[in-house]
Amino acid sequence: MRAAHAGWLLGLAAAAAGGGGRTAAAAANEAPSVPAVHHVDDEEEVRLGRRLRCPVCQGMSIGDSPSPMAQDMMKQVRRMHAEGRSEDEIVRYFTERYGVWVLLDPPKFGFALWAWLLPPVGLAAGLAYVWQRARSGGPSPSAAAPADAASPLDADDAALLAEARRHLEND
Amino acid sequence: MNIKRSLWMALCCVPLLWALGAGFGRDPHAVPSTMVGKAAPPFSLLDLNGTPVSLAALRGQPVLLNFWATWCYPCQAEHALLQATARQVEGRAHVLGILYQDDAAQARRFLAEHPSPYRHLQDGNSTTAIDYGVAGVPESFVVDGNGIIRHKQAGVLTPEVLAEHFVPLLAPAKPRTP
Repeated sequence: MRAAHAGWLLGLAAAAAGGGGRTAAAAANEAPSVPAVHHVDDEEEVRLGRRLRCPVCQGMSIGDSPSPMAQDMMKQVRRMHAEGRSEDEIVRYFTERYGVWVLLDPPKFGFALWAWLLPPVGLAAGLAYVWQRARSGGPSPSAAAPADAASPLDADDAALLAEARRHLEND
Repeated sequence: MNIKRSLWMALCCVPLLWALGAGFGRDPHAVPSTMVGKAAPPFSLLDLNGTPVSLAALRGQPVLLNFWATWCYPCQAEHALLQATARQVEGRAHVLGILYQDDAAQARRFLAEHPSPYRHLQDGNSTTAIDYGVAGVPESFVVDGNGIIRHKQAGVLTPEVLAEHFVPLLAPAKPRTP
């Protein structure tokens, strides 16, 4: 379980980087294309296909993976959906067998809750830090240009700098 | 760099390094099993001769379920151990092979060359594999006489694994009559 959680934490950066494209792709897939009564059902299956992780792939959903195992899992999703099982029931069926690992989005409870909490907390902390620094008036002395004439140099550094300047002027 | 800043750095970096370090030494392909301790999902599948085999009919004796495929070399490697185990536990337990993402004709060809004392079942659409949360082959499940999953082995079975998880479930062998 801990490895799966660590995997989610590591995947956060990738999710943040690829999130925009994925959302757009999902929106395109969910766009109404078949004006039949089955349309709503298809949308739910597509959503389930995107929520569940393909067990034989690396970070792919069963809806996206061409592997026979993922396709068989999609068949199982469609079969259960046709039987009238709800989305939650189908998700529970898979998590009971594969654990919460099978969910591409970490669940919002237990240790995995950190995967949801840490990014906004980190962002808020970063913004607070930047705001505080901006208010207290510019960068700290350590971040200032080291070659500044006002920087304190020890005797060795000053001698080295003077020699370098001499060389440059002679050239 | 002052002490306060060093402490802050440590506070931020240590948990991150711990989380990353925790991932080392683990198999990224290993899928945790939530099935151990639960009732084994029932199934009724056809063997390679077309005879139906159901798990319920085997209740009362331990069952070793082995998900395998002819295209899987580790499965071929553990086949000899399964053959020997099936012979040893005959009458006291059952060994069943369940084909995973494989063709019955291929399996018949393989078993013609490597005769097997136990039955092999066809699992079209991987229904039973998904019911057991199988994420690859070989995977084996030890089911006790009450139908409860006692162990899941993701990867090749070894004599040690069988000795620890399967053998203790066996009833003592009856003394042979002279």
